[in-house]
Amino acid sequence: MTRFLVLCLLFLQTPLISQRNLPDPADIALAQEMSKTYPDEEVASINYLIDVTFDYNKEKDLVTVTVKTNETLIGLRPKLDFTMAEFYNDQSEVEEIEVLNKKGKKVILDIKRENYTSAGIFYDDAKVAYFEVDFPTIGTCNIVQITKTYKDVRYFVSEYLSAHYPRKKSTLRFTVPAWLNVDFKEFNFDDVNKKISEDPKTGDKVYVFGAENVAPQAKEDYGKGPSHLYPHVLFLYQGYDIKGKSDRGFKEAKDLYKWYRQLAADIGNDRAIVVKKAEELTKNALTDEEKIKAIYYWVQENIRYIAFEDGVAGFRPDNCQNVFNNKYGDCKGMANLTKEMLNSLGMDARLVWIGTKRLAYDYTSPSLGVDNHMICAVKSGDGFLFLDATEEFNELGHYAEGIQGRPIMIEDGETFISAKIPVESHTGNTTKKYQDLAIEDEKLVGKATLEMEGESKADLLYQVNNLRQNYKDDAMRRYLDNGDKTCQVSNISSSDLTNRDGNITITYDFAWSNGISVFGDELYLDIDFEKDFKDLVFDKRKTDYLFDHKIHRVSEIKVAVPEGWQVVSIPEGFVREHEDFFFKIDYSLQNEKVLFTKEIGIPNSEIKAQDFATWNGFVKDLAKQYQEQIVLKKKP
Amino acid sequence: MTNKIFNILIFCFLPLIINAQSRIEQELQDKIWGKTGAIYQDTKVPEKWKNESAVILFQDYDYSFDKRANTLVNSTTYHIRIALQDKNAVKEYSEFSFSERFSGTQNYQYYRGRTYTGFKIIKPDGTTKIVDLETAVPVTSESNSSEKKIAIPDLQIGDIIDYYYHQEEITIIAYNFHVFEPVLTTLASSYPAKYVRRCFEVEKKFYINYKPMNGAPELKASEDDKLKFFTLEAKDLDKIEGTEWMYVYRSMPAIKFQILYAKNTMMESQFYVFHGSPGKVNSKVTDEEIIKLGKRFLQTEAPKYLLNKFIEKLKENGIDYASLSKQEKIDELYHYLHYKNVTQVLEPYFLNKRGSEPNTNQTEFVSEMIKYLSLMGISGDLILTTDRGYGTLADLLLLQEIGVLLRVETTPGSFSYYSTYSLHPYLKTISTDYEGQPAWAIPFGNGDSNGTEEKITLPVSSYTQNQSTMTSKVKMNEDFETLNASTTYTHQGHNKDWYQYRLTTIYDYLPGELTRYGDKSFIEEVGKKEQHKVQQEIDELKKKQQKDLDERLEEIINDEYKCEGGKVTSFKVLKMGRYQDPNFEYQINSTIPGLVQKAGPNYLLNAGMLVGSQKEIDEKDKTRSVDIYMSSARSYHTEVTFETPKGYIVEGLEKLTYKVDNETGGFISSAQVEKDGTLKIITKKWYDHQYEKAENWPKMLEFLEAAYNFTQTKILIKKG
Repeated sequence: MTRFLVLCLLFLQTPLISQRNLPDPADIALAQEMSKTYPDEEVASINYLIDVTFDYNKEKDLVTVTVKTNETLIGLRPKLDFTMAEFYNDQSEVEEIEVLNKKGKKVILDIKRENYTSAGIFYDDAKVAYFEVDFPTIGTCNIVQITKTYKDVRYFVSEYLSAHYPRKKSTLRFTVPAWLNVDFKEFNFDDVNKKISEDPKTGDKVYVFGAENVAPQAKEDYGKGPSHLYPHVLFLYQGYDIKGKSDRGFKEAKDLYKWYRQLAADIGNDRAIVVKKAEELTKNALTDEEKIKAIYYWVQENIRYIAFEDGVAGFRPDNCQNVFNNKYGDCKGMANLTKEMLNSLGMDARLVWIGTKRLAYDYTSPSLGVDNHMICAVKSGDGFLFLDATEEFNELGHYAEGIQGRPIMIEDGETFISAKIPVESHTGNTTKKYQDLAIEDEKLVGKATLEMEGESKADLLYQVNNLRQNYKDDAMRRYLDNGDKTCQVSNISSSDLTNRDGNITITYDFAWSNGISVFGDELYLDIDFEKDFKDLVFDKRKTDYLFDHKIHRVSEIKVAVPEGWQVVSIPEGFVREHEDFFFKIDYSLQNEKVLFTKEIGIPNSEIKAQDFATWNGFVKDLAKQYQEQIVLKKKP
Repeated sequence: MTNKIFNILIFCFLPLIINAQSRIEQELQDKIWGKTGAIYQDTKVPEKWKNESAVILFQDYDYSFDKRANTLVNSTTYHIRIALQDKNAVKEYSEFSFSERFSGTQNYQYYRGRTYTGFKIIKPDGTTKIVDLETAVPVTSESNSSEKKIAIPDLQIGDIIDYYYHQEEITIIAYNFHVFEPVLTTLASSYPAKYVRRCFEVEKKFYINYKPMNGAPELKASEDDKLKFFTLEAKDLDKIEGTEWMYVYRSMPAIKFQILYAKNTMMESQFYVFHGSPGKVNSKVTDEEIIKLGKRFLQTEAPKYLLNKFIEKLKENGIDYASLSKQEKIDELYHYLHYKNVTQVLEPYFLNKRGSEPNTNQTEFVSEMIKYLSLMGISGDLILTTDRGYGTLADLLLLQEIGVLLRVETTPGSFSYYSTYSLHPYLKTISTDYEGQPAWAIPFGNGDSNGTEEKITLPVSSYTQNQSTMTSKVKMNEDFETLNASTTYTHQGHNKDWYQYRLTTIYDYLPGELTRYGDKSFIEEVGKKEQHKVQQEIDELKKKQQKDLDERLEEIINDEYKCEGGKVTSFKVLKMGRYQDPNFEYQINSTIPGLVQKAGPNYLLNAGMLVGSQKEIDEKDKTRSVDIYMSSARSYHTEVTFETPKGYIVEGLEKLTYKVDNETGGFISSAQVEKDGTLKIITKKWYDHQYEKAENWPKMLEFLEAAYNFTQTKILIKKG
């Protein structure tokens, strides 16, 4: 019997060995070639194809979507276990995942399905199915096949040609039946081919989008959202007409609004619960603006942002009494509470749907992909003031960079008001620093004043107010002295650092030993302690760099020339200007004082990748400029 | 059919099960939140802590250890009431996670358990709101996991949150004894506390180890028929703040305890931990117990072939074992065992975890050494000591505090110590964790040992043994903006480890080690069919190690000169510093930005920074009340030769002269222009001891501040 088993095992070995997933020389050569182009990548895709088809679910009166993915991956590293993931949620399902080796044999997979919560989200309905694909040697190929379905076509938003690994050939194929109305909007389609054909038998229209040598998506912080950067199509559902049933879909923005509004209606707001608080908060308010401020700032201050993204609830606000009682909520819940509190005072407040700057879309392409945020609008004069309570320290009438200029839908009964969030100038975010200094005991000493407005101020207030209160003084000192031990900051005094209104002002005594060097009868003055931006160089970055907000910094430093000394050399001024950034430094001598002024601006809050070389050149020059000393000599 | 019946039964009994569960939850809640006494009604924050982020009003831990039938039941209740005084604290306590059910296997014994929680908020007006646990949401997986998290509603500044976690763990007894996980903890935490209590409820026949440290209170005891009760209370505890060079268990009130179970006293012998008598608090480990532990450790026998194999290996390497001195034999053995346990397995392990993990376990290594030495007829001592972080032998209570070393008297009166605490071993060092510690030497072997145990103090290395030297040639680049430096670094003693880890890859020493023992490399050992695949993996590993090394080098240079954008143009390891080699030596050529400033026709050079950045002590850390525990005494020597640009002279050298020398250490520097016109800067900084009393901190500050100020010093490069 034992001998029989051994023989059986021996025979079994043969097919097993012959089916091993070994690469052929052509695959190895291809992997090596791709490795040269993409040295940091572990795998690449040789061929990516998704096939999207549509069906009508008569029972639920919904259009369903089936997305079949077929992708051949090639290993660029040896002994690699590459994790693949497919996301889904309550509106979609990953039906099937299979991996085949190049010989077509199924690979045994350990597929794990878990809830998926991304950073900053307390709970959402997102789930992930993930599995590891084995690439034992360079050039090993695996074919990944995934079938994913959507219960409702509205939730099928976009498909990308790129991935976080490179794709040699990437194709998106949509087979659209004659009864279905759709449109496609292409984004970042520089090198993408598009073909539309019609099946004469079925009348189905086939849309094919293809690209070759698609670079991997960059893994970079402080960047734009993927919809701005990578080739993809936004799918626009525009209704169906089948078997006597029809739907408009999101043919126009008003259809999208109708759908949003229906979700936001009947959420069971009980305004009576919030009215008492609203009245209490505004009992001393004399004007509408004061009332709005009182409510807005109270929600900012007292409602913790905790994001819940649960299926359809991802688009439906929690009712006002829940958010009020819990003292937490997501953007929709906070917007709805703000609205209800204001309305309870007889004001005209409304919900506003908005997509932040992270999204490249607007309402000319109506889709659920257009919006990812909700705020409140309140009527003020002929216009509206917008209230985003998730921005903890935003002043009334000022808006976070992430929503400025973005198109919005303001609820207005059966229809909506189309508008845009106002865009603010970088000068509204000015940080001004004044220093009136003298030279004493080989130190620069004197008084300094820091003034901040706009988002610079909101940032500082957020940081200060979220620190442990017993660390605040120390943190403020470190903020002002840049953590430089040669600088002493003392007697710090500030305006109310909980007040969102107006500018903040911080005054302090400043002493810096490293700014003065004396050699015999010569004194060298390094006037600018800050030296900001000198190290921000983009030497490896590929995508545009985004700052949190528009930057505008102004410095004015006056240093009294000590008695018995005279200025013999002042560096030349420095100006570098570009439409997206500028640096200006000037030196002068006025009334026995050396005057240094500096202005730095990044008026659009971004440095485009195409301008990195210019930026780097400016910053290199700036760093060099910062090293320039003012020379004083003892009077004879 | 069976399933159907089971389902019907479950269906029938489900309401009963759920009711029982709810009853337990309710009883627990009533018990925990129903505690009487003024402490548990307290909502007042002392005036002195009004500016704190949060204040613990009380914090109770109740531990219970019980035997029920064939299970051991261990429950822990953590109950805290904390006043939230700012936004940071509100955020900190606004979300909680917990695992409703858990299970697993430890030491071949199955355990399972449940966690019960309760959260309530006390508003400033005294009203109380209990959080509905039904609002908890699952954390990760769709099913099977009981990990949940909950957002606390209506939590605001000024509120008090009062919550508990009650965890009950049941272990099915597989043996006649059980050792519960030890607890070693400080009484204070990151928030100040008005009242802290720990209670232990232990079956009388269990064994109890407990020791208070650094002023922590003793236990108050009571008992009933079956159980013993122990309580410790502490009041008015300030928060613990992170302080450099502090051993928290030596500086802050702390406790350690451990509970043991044995079916009967006969089973005591099974414990591999220290213990007293059943039902009595044991706070001390006697000399006899330590010696007994050591002797037990030594009760091992080794087969003779092990030694033969070692001798054979030496022979292959051209070494005649018989001709070696005692010291050489031990050194060779140490080298061989370290190679076998660590170096040889590194490559396959790094190649995607093939083969076994490198074994750096001290106990196993020392045990193996002793086996070999016994076979070789060499006597020595097993050294049992304690880690400095836990205290001395007098503080010993838990097995985890014990450190194991080996000592051999290689020549009369001269001892060598061995352990394998490092990836890069060096023969003549004792881990800094044990230096200067009192220890027991338990003799082994049958040679020239006197055979009696003795209490010793482990040697302490001096600052001259732990020395780093930096020799640097620096010149101004043609652009007069950056500097080019060619620097040779040599590290000795304990100063080596950190650099060896960061600046070597296994391929720096593996080929030499393989050759030494005549072994084939991993790729030569695998089958021919596998070789191509393994070669790909090796190439990949080398590439990755080189990339990581390049990144680390850049970090090191930027840290060294406190700059951004420093570049390493070449790097070479000159000496590996392993085994008998005292020096880890390497050369880095680099470009350094940011140290030159233009001053009219002249230049300012931040010459002080050329010796490398120095420790910065923040203003708030200049006062210190806790003792200073450093890794070791150590010294740093630098010699920088700066090539003055042609047509320029240097001025201001007097600013580079410092001299601080006191009983804690010192910093001395000098600068002068040499005959060849170069500028030579020499510095020496040293820490005299590994430990200083807090009162010596101002003296340490003298030289630390001097060294820092030196790095900020500029000289003038003047057009001549």
